[in-house]
Amino acid sequence: MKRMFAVLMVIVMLFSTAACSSSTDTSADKTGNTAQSGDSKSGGTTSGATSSDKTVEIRFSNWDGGATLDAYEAAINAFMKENPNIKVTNLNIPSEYDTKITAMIAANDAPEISILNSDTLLYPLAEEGKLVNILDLIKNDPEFDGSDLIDNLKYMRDPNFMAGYGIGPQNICLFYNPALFKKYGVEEPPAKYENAWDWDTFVENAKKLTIDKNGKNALDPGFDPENIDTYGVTFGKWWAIYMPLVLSSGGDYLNADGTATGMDSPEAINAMQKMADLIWVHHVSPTPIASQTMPGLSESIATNKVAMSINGQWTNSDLMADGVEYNVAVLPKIGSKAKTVMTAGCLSILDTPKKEAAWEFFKYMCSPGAVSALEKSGLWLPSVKSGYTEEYLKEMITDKHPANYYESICLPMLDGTAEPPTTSWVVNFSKINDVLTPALDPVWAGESSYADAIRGAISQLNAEVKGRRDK
Amino acid sequence: MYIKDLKKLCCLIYENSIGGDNVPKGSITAFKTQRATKSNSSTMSRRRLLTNIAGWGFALPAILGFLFFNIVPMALSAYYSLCDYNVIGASVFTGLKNYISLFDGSDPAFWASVKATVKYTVLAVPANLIFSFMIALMLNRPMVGRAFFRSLFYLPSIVPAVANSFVWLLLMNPDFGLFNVILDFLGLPESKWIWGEKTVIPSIVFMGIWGTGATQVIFLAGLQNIPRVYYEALEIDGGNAWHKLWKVTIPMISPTMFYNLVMGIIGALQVFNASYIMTNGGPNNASLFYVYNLWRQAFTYMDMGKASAMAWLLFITILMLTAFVFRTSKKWVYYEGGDE
Repeated sequence: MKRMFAVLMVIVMLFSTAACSSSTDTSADKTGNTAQSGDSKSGGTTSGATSSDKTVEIRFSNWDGGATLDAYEAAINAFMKENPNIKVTNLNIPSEYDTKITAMIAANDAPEISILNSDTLLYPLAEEGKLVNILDLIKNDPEFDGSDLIDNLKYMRDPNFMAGYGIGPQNICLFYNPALFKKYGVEEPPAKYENAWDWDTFVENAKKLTIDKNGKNALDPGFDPENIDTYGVTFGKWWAIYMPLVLSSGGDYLNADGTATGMDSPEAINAMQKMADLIWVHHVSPTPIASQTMPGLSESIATNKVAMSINGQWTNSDLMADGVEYNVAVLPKIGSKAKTVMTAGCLSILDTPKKEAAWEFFKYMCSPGAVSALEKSGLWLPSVKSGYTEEYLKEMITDKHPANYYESICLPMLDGTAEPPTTSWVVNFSKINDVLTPALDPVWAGESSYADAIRGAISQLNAEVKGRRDK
Repeated sequence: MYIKDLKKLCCLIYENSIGGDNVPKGSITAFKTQRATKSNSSTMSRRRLLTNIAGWGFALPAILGFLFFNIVPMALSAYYSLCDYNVIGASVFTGLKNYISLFDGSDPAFWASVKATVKYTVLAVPANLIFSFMIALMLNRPMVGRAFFRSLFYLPSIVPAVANSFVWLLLMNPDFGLFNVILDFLGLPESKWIWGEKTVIPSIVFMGIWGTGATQVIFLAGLQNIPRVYYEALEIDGGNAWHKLWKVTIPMISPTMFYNLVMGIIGALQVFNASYIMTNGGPNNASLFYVYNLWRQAFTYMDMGKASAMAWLLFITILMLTAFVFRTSKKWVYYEGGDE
């Protein structure tokens, strides 16, 4: 009896390990025997549909949650209604996105179409030949008007290879709290970039709007910078926030031929020091520590904690949803012209046998109206030029949008004010950024001047500079 | 569906081992008849064989698991540490390039991470050992509510790392966190805690002390194993509490201390959560711990070659440190039942 039991246990264990390790073997060599339903199903989908009338299944991978995810689902359903022979599965990966996509590609199970991080995964995949050159697809598709794509949103591996396209573009702008401007008698910031405030005006107004606990503003000699109740301006400490000012000052992330960083140029030093001075010289902006505990922008504006904020346009969706009384304006200028930069999720097609079906979905996602829910919510801007007609924008801009949305946010997209995302043209961006960001910590903390900080990091920075993609 | 094949396989193993000449190979009926007709002479060897098969069978899942989830990945990472490998593309053999690039100064982040980790280990290991030993000593004394306090001190260990980190982020907030409020109240200078380059590592060590419940429990178990007779003997000889601690408790607890020291060093060199959840390695890379840097190489930069090289360096370092501690242990660890 014991012996029988032992033999039985051995068999069970051998069976379980064999079942774990070799399911592919058995489904391959056992034809008529016992076909596993799960195996045959996945086999059918990955091998692709050969006959034309058969449904093609593609997977669209993305990481967003909330309203964006809902809008993706809606867009997918609308697309499938129009294209009954293409079935799109939404592959939503909310965390460790790059790792999971990499693992899928390594396992030869890549999703057919993906939103990719332009600063991490996009270009390494393009360089390994895992992505389709979208220029080829445009060339082979007479129905598609390639000139409708916005040049600044093309993620070009090199001038002849388009690795992806920025859908749902966004830009950086100035959010402000009209109630505080009214209360302290400050003129509201301009709506058009040609009227942008110069830096001194911006600082002067920020000072008028920065109020300590005794009700004194930052221009008052008795102002107490240790106990500020209302800040004149808040800003993030990352590339998309400081690049518009660096660009306006005449600097850039890299030098003209892409051989060294541009962040040590006199223009960049001027812009970056001016930003740090907002915190430590003018006392109109919270210290990094104080920022840690600031509530979100909705609450900061609603409770009159903040008068202005340099922030991403996508913040509109939160402010609009929360019903906050606010408006948007253009960023101030440092040099002769004010600038902003775009950011976008990059939509790429992976090199799979189903790239044609993925291309259909790609075109749909770029077309005006496909994700109108996101445009109406204030999160995204239209992805192609034809989405910037007055007619379309009027439909997209709801009465919840802030009054200056069209002039301060939509117009700069096509008139040359909004520069391409820095991540799209700087080779090796993430590594350069990972040297620059920690080096800036002492600057934002008021422990070092920007010039000293950048001088200390310059050899490390330049060691990571590997050229520019646009030249 | 594989049962048939596997039965066959078992039969084959069985037949080969008993050397049955006249048995048609692979036949299940033969297997059955054999069992019925074989003489008693081979019963013993058969039983031993079955015991062997059963033994191996029981051990097999663990062995296979160890093989496939430890040995194979380790061998692969050793190979990849000699390659340029980004997972998506093919690996290119580059020899010692990854190791050289770590040491030739071209990667300052590497040295920043080594510095942060060494600093953390030097502070955290003794701090955790001393603190948890002291708590264990206290919890070992007869007192009212002992069970309650034992649970209380263990409680932080079961709080998830993320929740724990967020609580400490609030406590250490320089503007309104409880710690600065207390310092202010006592008239002491406030600290920037994890937001200061100089204070971030000590702050993380301080936070770590809170979660040493597991070490405390091990110490407590060690303390409870010390025979009372030694203390009684000391009392008779006129020893006081100090003597009890130095002459009995510490020598008797030294094996536990040794175990906790080794585990503490291994854990400290692999510290990760604090920089991942709380500081992102900042400010200015002051808390860029080695494993966090390794993780970033692997999963942000997709540089698996370099990450593997870093992992092997860490492995060798831990191995050597552990060997060193084992070496010295002969001098300071006392085993009651040990061979003299």
